[in-house]
Amino acid sequence: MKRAAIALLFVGCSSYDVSRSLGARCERDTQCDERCLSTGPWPDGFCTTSCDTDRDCPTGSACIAEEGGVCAFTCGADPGCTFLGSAYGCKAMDDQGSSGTQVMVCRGT
Amino acid sequence: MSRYLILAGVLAAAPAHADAPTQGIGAELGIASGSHLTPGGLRVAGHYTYQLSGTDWFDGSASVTFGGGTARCFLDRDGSYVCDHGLLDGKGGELVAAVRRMFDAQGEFRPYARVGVGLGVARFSDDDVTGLVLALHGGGGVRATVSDGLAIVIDAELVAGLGAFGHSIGVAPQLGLAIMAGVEFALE
Repeated sequence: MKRAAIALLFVGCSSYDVSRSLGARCERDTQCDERCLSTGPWPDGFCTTSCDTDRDCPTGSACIAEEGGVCAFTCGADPGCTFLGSAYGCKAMDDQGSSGTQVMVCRGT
Repeated sequence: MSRYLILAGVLAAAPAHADAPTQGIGAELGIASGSHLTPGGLRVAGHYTYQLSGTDWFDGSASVTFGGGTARCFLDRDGSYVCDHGLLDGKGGELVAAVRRMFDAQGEFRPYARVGVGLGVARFSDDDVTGLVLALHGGGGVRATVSDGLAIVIDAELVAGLGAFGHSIGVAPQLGLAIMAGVEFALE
């Protein structure tokens, strides 16, 4: 019971920092620190950073094998992606730099 | 650090006559800290003082703030435009009308408090964000007369107000702190 309460507290306090480097809405690259994913499964646009491995990505994100390797927020289930908008869900994607490994990230449904 | 030591030494060496002139001008240099949509950085200010009563002086000033920084504004997921600038980012200019109340001299120093209102512009060029700012100023400092017609001042002030910005930001709070030091000259 105590552990559950602590876990609930942790989940309740967890948050993602949307920024110019990861997660901000965008239509073009100049609205981001590096690049904007404005087409495909990134509703309303998604600022991200190019990467080769997870180490290239901010805390709370992973490097997925898409668009040559981009960072995306990691998640455990769909509710963990609602901060990006209702069109985002938690999907399994290939991890860039770790062939055969998949990682759960927030991505357009 | 050595600059502060030199300044402290000059203040300590100031003679005991601590009267302020009826009219004076001054120049100050210091650091202003901002954040979010309040510019911060190196600040240069010019002052004009005019005695209103036995204890109060009008203190009008014009200042410019030169900060650095890169683009730090973005569209949040709800479509709102959010800016998260650092303490020493942005540029600004401001005109302030204030009243300086001089307190009794304490040895070589004459402390004072200052309150005023300022109108200025804040600019974050990398984000192409500009705002018109109305702010209240409050702070205090100490003035030490070094020779006839020349004094050194050190002061600090808090600034709080509101700014109207473009880019759908609208009205945003302004909050900053400035620490300045400079010289003042008597005009009469």
